[in-house]
Amino acid sequence: MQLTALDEAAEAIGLRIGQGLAEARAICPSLDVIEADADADRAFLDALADWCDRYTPLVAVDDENGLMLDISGCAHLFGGEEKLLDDLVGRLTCFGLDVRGSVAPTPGLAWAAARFNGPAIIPPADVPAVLAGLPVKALRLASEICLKLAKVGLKQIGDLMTAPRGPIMRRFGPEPLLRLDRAMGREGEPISPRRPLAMLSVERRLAEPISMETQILDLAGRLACGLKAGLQARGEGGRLFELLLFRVDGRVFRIEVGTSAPLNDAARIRSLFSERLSVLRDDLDAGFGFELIRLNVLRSENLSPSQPHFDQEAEAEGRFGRFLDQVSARLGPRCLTVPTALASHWPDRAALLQPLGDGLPSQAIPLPAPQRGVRPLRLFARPEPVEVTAELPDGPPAMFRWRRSRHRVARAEGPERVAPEWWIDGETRPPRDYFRIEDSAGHRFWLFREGLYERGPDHPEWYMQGVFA
Amino acid sequence: MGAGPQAQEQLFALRQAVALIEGKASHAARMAADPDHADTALRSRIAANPDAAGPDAAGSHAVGFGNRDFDQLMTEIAVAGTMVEIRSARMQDAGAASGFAFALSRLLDGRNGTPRRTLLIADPFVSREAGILYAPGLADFGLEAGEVIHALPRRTEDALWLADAALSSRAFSAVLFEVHGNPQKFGLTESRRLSLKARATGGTLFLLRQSGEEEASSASLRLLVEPAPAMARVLSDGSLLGGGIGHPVFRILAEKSRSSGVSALFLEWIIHDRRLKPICPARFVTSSVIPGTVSSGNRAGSAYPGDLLSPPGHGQAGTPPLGALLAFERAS
Repeated sequence: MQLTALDEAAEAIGLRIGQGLAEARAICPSLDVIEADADADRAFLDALADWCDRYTPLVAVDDENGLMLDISGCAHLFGGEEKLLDDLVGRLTCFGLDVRGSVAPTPGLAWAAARFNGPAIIPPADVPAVLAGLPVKALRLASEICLKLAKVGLKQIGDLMTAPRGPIMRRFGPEPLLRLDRAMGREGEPISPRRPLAMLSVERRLAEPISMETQILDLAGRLACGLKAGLQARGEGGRLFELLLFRVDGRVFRIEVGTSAPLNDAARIRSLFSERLSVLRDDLDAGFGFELIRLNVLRSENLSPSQPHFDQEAEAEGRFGRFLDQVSARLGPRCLTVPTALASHWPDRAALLQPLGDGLPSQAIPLPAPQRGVRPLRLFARPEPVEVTAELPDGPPAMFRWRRSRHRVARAEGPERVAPEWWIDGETRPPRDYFRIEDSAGHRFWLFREGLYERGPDHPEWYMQGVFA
Repeated sequence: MGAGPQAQEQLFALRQAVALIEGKASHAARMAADPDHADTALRSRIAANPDAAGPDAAGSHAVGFGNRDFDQLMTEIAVAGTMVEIRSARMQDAGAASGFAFALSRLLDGRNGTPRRTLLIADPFVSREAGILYAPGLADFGLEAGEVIHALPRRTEDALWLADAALSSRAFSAVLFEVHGNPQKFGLTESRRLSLKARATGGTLFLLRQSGEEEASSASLRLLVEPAPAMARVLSDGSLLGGGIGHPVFRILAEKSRSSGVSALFLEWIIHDRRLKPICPARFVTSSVIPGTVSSGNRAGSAYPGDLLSPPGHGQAGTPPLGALLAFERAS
């Protein structure tokens, strides 16, 4: 058991990271030891990354104890890079964390400066000078390579910069020079952000935190009005909206709402969020209130402006679209389905309840109706076994027992032989003979016999698959 | 069939004809042995040619009578803003009840310009017991693709909200709300709320109670649906295919209705025409035979008397004369 992290008091006593636990306890008997929980640490770092969303949408998690933020284009919103960094570090310190940060033109240099006591703000002109003063470890190289470089005498990055490149490439591989180039800015280094970048984003900072649902919805409506201008300028409507609520203690809530058709009307966006919030009411704990609200458009589509009609038909389609959005927001996008017929003759696979995510499926060219027998109105999920008395070898049933009640057959239509789809079920699956049966009371059933009497040693089985109207 | 030896003779002759048409010994034997299905031939004859069934068949008077009941029923259903309860007594009848509900919803035309679109809010238990909607079956029943939207919410509260939202949105010409039995969570208050919403928005709500008991609800019309033996298939030359199962037939009993005196009806759903047509079996004929009563004359010449939205101006002969109805199965 080794120590992985220390606070200032422990460092002051003289303990080091990597020291054995027993040794540490010997040095300081009253040591307070907490077991390391990597998952909890990771979750905490993710939560911090969520919180840093208020500064820039491009946030990446860096190792186990750092965050990389791409603030190009965002610094002016906070009054400059220095003010941004001060604000960030200050707030995190108020949370109780010990934070070091630095702003640099390249990610590599920023990483190095933050962890090795570099300056806080590094203008582009100072990059070589600052880099030269940092040790080689600051280039994120493996420890063996650092040892080898140290043996040769390259202890600082400045030495590496002035040394000839060819021999270093041959002796130590491409890694050191690649890292150096990236830190200098000669080569690009991408940061992979945790979440995709929103197309359009409107946010409002509040002087006093709010916690009531009506206030949140009102604000969301006003933000949506702000979005409308941006969407109209692009000629687009939003398909997927996201509402971010930043709580004062750092927790961030995300609420997503999707629509079936491109939308830029503020009132409808607000109503969709109100449906969603009515479902999420219990999960959303406002705590001491939300201080920042942001509305993102994550996905958008072309929305051509349409003239409102005087006739009712176009309005009817709009009503259905609105109903669809309302239900998707409240009960999920898979709630409403439409029964669709599939191109298969095997009854189990001939139909599907397809979710209406994007509105009604467009009317395709109607295929000619297949030549087949009449199909039942309701089909069971699994065929149920039935005990049947029937004429051999392929006559219709005369009497059957299903779900513990006897039925006497008055009329029967069939058999309709359906051969299995050998490309899916294999060649050994027996064919089915379907019968449409009416019993003496008038109930109409759809029975089938699986298998034939002449072939094979096993007796065919009878099953009930559906009921007619 | 208690009208005497003449009727018996006619029946026997019909049975012979049926056996001839079928030509299969086993089928004919089965049909002859089962007295219930002797009606089929008679019924199908009447159905094929209702006005020709006039004086010679014993059912002429009842044909007209059934038509009037049917008209009354359809006018009640066609009123905008209604809630109609359709009940099936057993889970075995669930297929028939759903079929009848879909037939009714298909008859309702798009009003206020809405395209004809039906929402079925299914119940999870009924879907497990009686099956899920099958798209080829819907097509074979007469409903087009995209006309029926299906929803399967898990909780009753979600189902109620869905029905409410569907009625408010006015995007559907009919909403079918399926419940199993008489659940606690769906009582008088909930049904009253839904019926008020239907009236306010002018939509139609069909409450489909599968295998449920009669319960007081705010529906203005409550119908009990049972399946009845189907009509035989009609061949291209007009004759009937004996032993074939043709259009579905439902037996409807109006348990609660605004117009009094609507008795039990047998309705056939003609798939290719998308219409409901009343037919009468001989069973009901016996109770209402009074020679000389004429109520079928008005219906002469119309093969399909049951147009849902046609005004009931013609065909209403007023209340039947006293004594024309005898021995109904149910004192409603």
